Amino acid sequence: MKLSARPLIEVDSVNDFDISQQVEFTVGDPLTFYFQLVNLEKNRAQYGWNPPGMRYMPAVGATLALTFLNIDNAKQFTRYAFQPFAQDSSIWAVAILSSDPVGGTVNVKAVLSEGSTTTTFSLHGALSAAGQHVCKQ
Amino acid sequence: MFVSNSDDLASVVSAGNTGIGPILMKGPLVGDLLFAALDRTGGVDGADLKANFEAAVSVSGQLQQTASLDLSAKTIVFIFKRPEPSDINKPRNYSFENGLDYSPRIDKGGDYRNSKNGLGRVFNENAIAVAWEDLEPLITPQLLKEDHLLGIPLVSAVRDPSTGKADVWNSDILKRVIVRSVSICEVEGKFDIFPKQYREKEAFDRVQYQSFGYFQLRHRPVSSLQQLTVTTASEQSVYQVPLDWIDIGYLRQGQINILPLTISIKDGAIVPLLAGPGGSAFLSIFGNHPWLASFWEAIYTTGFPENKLPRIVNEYIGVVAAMEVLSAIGATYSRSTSTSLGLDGLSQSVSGPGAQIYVTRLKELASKRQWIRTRLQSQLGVGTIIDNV
Repeated sequence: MKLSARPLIEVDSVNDFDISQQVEFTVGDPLTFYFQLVNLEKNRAQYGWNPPGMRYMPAVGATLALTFLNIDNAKQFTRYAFQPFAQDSSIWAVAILSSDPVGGTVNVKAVLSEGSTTTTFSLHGALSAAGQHVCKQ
Repeated sequence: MFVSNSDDLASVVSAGNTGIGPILMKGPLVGDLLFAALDRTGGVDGADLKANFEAAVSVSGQLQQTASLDLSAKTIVFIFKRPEPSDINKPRNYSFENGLDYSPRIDKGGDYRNSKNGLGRVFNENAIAVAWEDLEPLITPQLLKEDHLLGIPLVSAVRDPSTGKADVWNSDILKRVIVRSVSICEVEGKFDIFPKQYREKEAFDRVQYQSFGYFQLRHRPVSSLQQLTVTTASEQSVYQVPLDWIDIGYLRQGQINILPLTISIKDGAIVPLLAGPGGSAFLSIFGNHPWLASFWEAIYTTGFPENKLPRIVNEYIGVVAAMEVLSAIGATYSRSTSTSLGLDGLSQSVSGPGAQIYVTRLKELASKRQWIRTRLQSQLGVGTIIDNV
């Protein structure tokens, strides 16, 4: 299995959401970042699947930790995601607070723990935050 | 590794140590290894008197003199080596004392607790306020299509003979192209786009050192400086130049000047001037040599802070990505440039550009790519090398 995730936008329910390559928002706005776990070794692009990957439902009791990467260790933070819909455990969400130091193009590293098994994947440029932090360049 | 400071040297004389016994000095801890005891009497390099002292510090704050030798009239620079801790992830102890870095060297990647930014922004060099904001996240696949590939079907002109389907350049593929284009732009433009922290060795050049420690870092644009040290080949920091003394006026272009014109205060302690004895004696010892390779070690960060890019940089990336896409799609039109159909007395012929279908657009983009690149290189100080010969 090659685990990855698809960022989701306009999420209302398990039957009402859209898929994107990144979630765009404005720096300083609180955000709930939704995404769907997928197995990229299923429904592969070379066989015409668009978007590729089959949604992946982890084992009951699994935990998913997201680290929002920053070159400055002090601005890097880890937060646990939650499953907002009991009907579809492949969809996860994490709250991003207005005070969180995210801006520009943000890469995310994720660690899924299912019992004693951990699986890691990265989302390149998962968040695209426009606007300015109140910080000196 | 660290060097004892001047007060400790004075205590040798005041204590009247002329024979075996302890020499009081601040800094050394139990287990520190004596690396050298350089005789600098009269400011001239002398013998290493290390054999007259214990090899490792047995009592903190003291060094035991083990030979009966009158050292009271001598000026000695003691250099110690502190063993590396086994756990390199242990948080760094920033216990600066009199400008000396007493803490062991550990991997400082991503550590910005001590950092000095430039005067202003990296792009629009040193701007400190703007009315027209032009920083934005990396271009998205959707923006790439709208801004650079408008009206161009991102579909292969050749169908897969086994499935009868045409390949489609979906947004996932476009995102990969954008990410790759960032790398292409960085290599082609010779400047960093996303932040990168470097540890870099620089040569000691006496001419440059006498010009207020002038030297240039190798990567651009520099957004901040974290550390400048004198570091040995064994990667031990011997002396840390206080950031207060490092001028950042030309930091964006990678230029560093050491200007010890003010008193530097670190953790409430006044750092002595570079010209003084003690830790900085190391500098004066090596100052007699005209040139030393890999003397300085700088830790600094390049690229655009917070992963926010100037629009013109996004334009550059977009142009490169669009060229990659058009080139690949154009190749799928290479099957034929003309077709003709005849039936009895009727015939129809159609000719087209074939694989040349997007050549005109590619030429326009190539011209634009070069225009942006050269101007960015100029703005970011990439095209200029300044040195003495």
